[in-house]
Amino acid sequence: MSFVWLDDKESAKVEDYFVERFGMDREKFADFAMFQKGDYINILALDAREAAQELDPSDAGLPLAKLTHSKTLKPVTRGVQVFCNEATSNVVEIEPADLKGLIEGRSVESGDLKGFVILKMGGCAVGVGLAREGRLLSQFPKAMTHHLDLRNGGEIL
Amino acid sequence: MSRLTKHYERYKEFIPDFDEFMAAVKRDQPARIRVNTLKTTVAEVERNLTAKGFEVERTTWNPYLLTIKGDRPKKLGSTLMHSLGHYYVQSASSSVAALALDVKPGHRVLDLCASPGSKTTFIAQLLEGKGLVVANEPSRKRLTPLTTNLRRLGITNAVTTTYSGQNFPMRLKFDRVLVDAPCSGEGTWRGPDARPKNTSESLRERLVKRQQQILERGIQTMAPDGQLVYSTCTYAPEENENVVGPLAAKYDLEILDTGLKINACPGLTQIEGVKMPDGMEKALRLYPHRFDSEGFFVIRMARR
Ligand SMILES: C[S@@+](CC[C@H](N)C(=O)[O-])C[C@H]1O[C@@H](n2cnc3c(N)ncnc32)[C@H](O)[C@@H]1O
Repeated sequence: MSFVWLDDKESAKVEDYFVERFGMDREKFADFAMFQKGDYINILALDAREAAQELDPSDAGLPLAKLTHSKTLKPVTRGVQVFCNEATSNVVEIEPADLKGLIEGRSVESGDLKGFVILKMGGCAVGVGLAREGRLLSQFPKAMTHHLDLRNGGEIL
Repeated sequence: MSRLTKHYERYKEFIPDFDEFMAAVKRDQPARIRVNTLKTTVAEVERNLTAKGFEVERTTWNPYLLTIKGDRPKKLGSTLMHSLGHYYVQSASSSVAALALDVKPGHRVLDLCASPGSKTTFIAQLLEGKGLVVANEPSRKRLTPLTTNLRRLGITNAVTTTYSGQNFPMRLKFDRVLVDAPCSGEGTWRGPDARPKNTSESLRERLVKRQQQILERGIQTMAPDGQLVYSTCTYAPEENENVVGPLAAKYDLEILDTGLKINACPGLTQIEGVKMPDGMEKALRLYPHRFDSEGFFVIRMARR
C-alpha cells in the first residue's frame, strides 16, 4: 500500500485536531512528518523520512489517527501512547480495575465527555476511549489486549 | 550418546569444558527482559514487576536487561506493562549483538534480517528517537510480529522494508549495519527437551551461501566510516568465521573489539588448518556454560 505524504497544510490539520481536542502543544509534532496509508495517518521522525521515500517501505513510524467514514479523525492507540502523555482535555484518568473492565467489555462512567477521549493511567496515555451518553467504551485493539492475563486475583498482571 | 551430544561432538575441539557445555545446554536459560527506555525507566519496571511478585535482578554489562527469577517468567508476555511496550522479552545474547553495534543517537542504522525485532527495537532505544533504523525482513509471515513489536515499543524513527537482504538497494549508506543472519539456530536448542533440528548438509550449504550474500550486501551498504555487526545463534564455524573471513579479506575490513565485558570465548583463528584474517579472536563466541543464555556468535567490523 503506498504512502501519500501530507504537505504542511494537511499535517497542520491533523495537528489542529490534537491541539484543539486534547489540548496538546503543537511543538510535540515539530520533528515529525505525516503520511496517509489506507485509512491511517502515520507519524514518522523527520530523520527517517528520506529513507522512507528512497526505499520501498511496507511500514514506517506509528499510526497516529484513523480517518473515519465521515472524514473525521479518530486517535489511534499506539500513536496516542507516544504522543499524548501531555494531553490536558478530553482525558479520562483510569485505574487498573477500570482498564480490566473496559477490556472485558464493560463500560466505565465518563461524566459529561462526548466523543473520543485519551485514557491515562498514572498520568501516562495508555489508549483511547469513546464517551457516549455518560459511559466510556474501550477502543483498545484486540491485538493489544487478548493475551493479557486477567485471572490474577481479579487484577491485571 | 544422545542425538544432541552426537551433533555437537565435532565442536569438542574448540568448545572449552565440553561436558559443562553439554550440561548447560540441557538446562533452561534464565528469562530476561529489556526495559524500553523510550517509554519508561528501569527502576519503574523493576518496581512494578516486584510488586506483582516477580523476582528481578539487574545485569552488570547491560543497564537495560533484567533477569527474572523464580517460576513466573512464563507470564512475562501477558502483563499490562508488556502490552504497553514497557519491555521486550529478550535473551542476553541477542542483546549483546545489538550492543556490539555501538549505536549512538543520530546514527542511520540498517538491520538487514530484522524480525521479530528484538535487536531493531533495542537499536531504536539506543538511538533515543534521533536518526533512523531500517528494519528489513523479506518473510511476509514474519513481517507482522516485527511491525507489531515496533508499534508496541513506540518507535517513531523506524522504516520497515521487505527486500531479500542480498538485494537491499545500495543507494542509501548507513553508519551501522546489523546482519543477524538466518542460521541453523543451534544456540537456541536449550532446555531439558533440547534436540537438534534442521541439520541436513544441504540446508547448511544453502544457509552459508545466503549468509555470504546478505553479509556482502551489508558491507556494500556501510558508509565509509561505518561499522557492521554480523551475528548468528549458531556455533557452526561454517556459518560464522568461515562466512566472515573471506569477505573481511575481500573488502579489507578490520575486526574490532566489541568493548563488552562479558564471559565470552574468542572467535576461531584457524579452522581445519586454514588461518582466519587477523583479529578473528576479537569475535565473541557465547557458550551457555560461560554466558548463561542462547549460544551466539558476534563480530564487529569496519573498513580499514
Ligand atoms: C535470526 S533471525 C533474525 C532475528 C532478529 N534479528 C531479532 O533479533 O529479532 C533471521 C531473519 O532473517 C530472515 N531472512 C531469511 N532470509 C533472508 C534474506 N535473504 N535476507 C534477509 N533476511 C532474511 C528470516 O526470515 C528471519 O526473520
